[in-house]
Amino acid sequence: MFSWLAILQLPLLYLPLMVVGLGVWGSDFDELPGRLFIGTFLLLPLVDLLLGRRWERAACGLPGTLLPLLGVLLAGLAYRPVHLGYWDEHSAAQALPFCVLGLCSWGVSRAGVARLREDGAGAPPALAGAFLLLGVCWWSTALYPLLPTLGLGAIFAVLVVAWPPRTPEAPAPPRWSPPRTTALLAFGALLLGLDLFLVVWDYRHDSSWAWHLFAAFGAAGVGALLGGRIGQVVLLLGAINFALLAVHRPWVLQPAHSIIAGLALGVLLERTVRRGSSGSERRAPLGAWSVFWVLGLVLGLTLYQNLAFAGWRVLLLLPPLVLLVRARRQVTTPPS
Amino acid sequence: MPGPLRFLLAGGALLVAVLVSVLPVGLDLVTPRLGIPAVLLPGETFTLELRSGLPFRSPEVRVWLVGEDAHPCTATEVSRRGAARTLEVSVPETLAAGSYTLKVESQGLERSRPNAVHLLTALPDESCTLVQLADLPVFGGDGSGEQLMATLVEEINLIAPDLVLVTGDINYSGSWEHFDLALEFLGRFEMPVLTCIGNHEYKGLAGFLTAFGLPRHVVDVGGRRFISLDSGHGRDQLTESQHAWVREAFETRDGRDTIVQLHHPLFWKRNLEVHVGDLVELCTEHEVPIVLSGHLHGDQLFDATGTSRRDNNEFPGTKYVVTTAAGADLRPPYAASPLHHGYRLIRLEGNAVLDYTYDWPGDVDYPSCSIPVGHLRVEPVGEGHVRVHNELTEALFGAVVSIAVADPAPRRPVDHGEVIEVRRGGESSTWRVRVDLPARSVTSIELIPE
Repeated sequence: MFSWLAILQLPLLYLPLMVVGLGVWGSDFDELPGRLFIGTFLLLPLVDLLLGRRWERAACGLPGTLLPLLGVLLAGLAYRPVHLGYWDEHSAAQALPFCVLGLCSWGVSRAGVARLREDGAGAPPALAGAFLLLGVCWWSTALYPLLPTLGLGAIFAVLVVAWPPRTPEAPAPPRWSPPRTTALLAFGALLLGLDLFLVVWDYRHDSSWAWHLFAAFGAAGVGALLGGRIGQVVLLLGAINFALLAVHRPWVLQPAHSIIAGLALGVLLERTVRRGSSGSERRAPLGAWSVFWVLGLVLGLTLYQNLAFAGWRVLLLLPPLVLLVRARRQVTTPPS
Repeated sequence: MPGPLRFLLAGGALLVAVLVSVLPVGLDLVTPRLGIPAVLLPGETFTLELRSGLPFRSPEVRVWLVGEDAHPCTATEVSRRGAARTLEVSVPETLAAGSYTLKVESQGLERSRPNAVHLLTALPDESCTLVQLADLPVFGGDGSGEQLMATLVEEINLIAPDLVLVTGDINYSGSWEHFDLALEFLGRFEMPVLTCIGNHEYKGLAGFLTAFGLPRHVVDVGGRRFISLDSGHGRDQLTESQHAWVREAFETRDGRDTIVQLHHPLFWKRNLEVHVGDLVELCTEHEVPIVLSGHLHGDQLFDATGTSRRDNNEFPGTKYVVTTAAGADLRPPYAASPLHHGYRLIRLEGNAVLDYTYDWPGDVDYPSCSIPVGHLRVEPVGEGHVRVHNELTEALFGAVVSIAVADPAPRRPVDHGEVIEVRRGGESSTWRVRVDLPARSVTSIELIPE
């Protein structure tokens, strides 16, 4: 569970938290803090590309314990200005620790991948447990809107305890290797990123969305547990849910919407990371999933901040249609 | 690294992180405050909302209303949810009318909000006068914005409405400094001020939320409910959650006449586009007499069908009023009246709007006009003697003139005015005199020792 928690905290906690902060409480990309955030978004994939595997080799040792330890302290520093205060788009003192925390979050995520390579993926309850803990972090926004920043620190602290440093031995054959992201899965990530956080863009400063996200991540845990048994049904429900959202906006505030979107997230991630994907289409590294997920978050924010352009919202109907058609093709195409 | 050491390190680091982020334990006074004030009679209660730095705890809260002296009030907790606490505060019956600073103390922490509580001698239940201004002057630069704002405050204090509504675009730069400046200017109003967020406040939102609090709110003043909306919520729109909120605000009005203010107009151009029909329907259903907006930087007037009423300001149903900029740049394409910086004076009688437009001088009738700024001024003549210039085309009834005198001896006005209050402070005292100012007149007010 801890390795999954380590992997998922980057795309499902740190990155959404940054997008929510910038989207709800403000961003000014003409000033240093705004540029720091943009820089972090651009830097993370670059660092991953250049140092990913090298860091993974080191991460099972002492550096893999020290980095989350540093992350705990950074989380405290990043949260301090926003406790009983507000995300300040003009404050470099707030942006700097938050952005450095992003590097820690990436490092811990990669360390999680390294651990899984050695230990294997584990049973679905491990993934479900990780989702539930992330859900608790998002629930904490009901207390203070940006409290999940400190939740990130708590996750890092748990990882320091749960991950004993390992001494390098003779290389053993990997028991798990990260699957590749197919276009279909990347597309699913984009849609879920767009869908799951719409409730946040609606409520904005009123963090009543905490319960919706808790329900969504709890449902994601259930989705991960049930996986293949309900997969097709959930994805179909998710697509219908998505279509309803485009034509009938009040749906966004229904808990059922969050629960269905969460179930779809759980099913999709369980399929992606545990089984890989079938088909002969071109594939990208797993990290691309996160990129599409964040793109979905940003797209959701942009579309929802332009409520007046109804035409754009109707275009949201296209992706689930394409998703459905592609899923159907996958089912009907016999395995080669 | 052994397990116990990792446990100690992780636990220690987490403890440090938590302590660094939450200490010293904070206390946030959410409402009431300037912009979302409590307006009531002595002896009544108001609701105090706090956010505590430590959730799930209910330490004792002590409350004072601070005028010239600090007056303790009784506070009783009515609900607690996470870090949010709601208390009912009883105001002593013996307190005099006036504007008070709310002071709250809990766990050794003190927080104050100036101009948060206004005690009145009588609530404006039947007759009520409002002044609405929007799109305030731009601060910074050559200081002309600050000068215009000072003039506005002086004029509106002279008019002495029951309430002032500030309908968004308070700060154009988004800087903390300018939010503080706005807070200082709005604090000079002698009556309760109700603010609402505009689109420009979304730049530097942290500053707005810190200075003025909740972006949408309800303030009840006697038999009237004032709903202030956040029309910049989903890029100049009302989102679902806010629509649900405003519906609830109407449904819980408990028979109160309701006034709505939101920065963006509901009709025509640069307007709200989502949930307009729903909001209009709510306003019609709940017989809202007037909906106040700004944003166009020009005067406009609409009926419930969205038709611009350039013909007549007396039509049945809700009046959707757009008021010109109080000081920001004027925009000719959006104005249905001569371009001017100004504010709107609204007189209500029960749920009926008696008057809300200004007769522009000249032959042409512009039924949407607001009052141009700079046509009311007080000219000091001598000790206890002023001349009040009303250059407007309309008479101003019940204006309140403040006259400072050094001599503490009792005085009485000659010819004009009625002394309504004497504020003594330091070596001088301020005499507040109520007077009617005829249109295009100069009124001399002299206080002579008795």
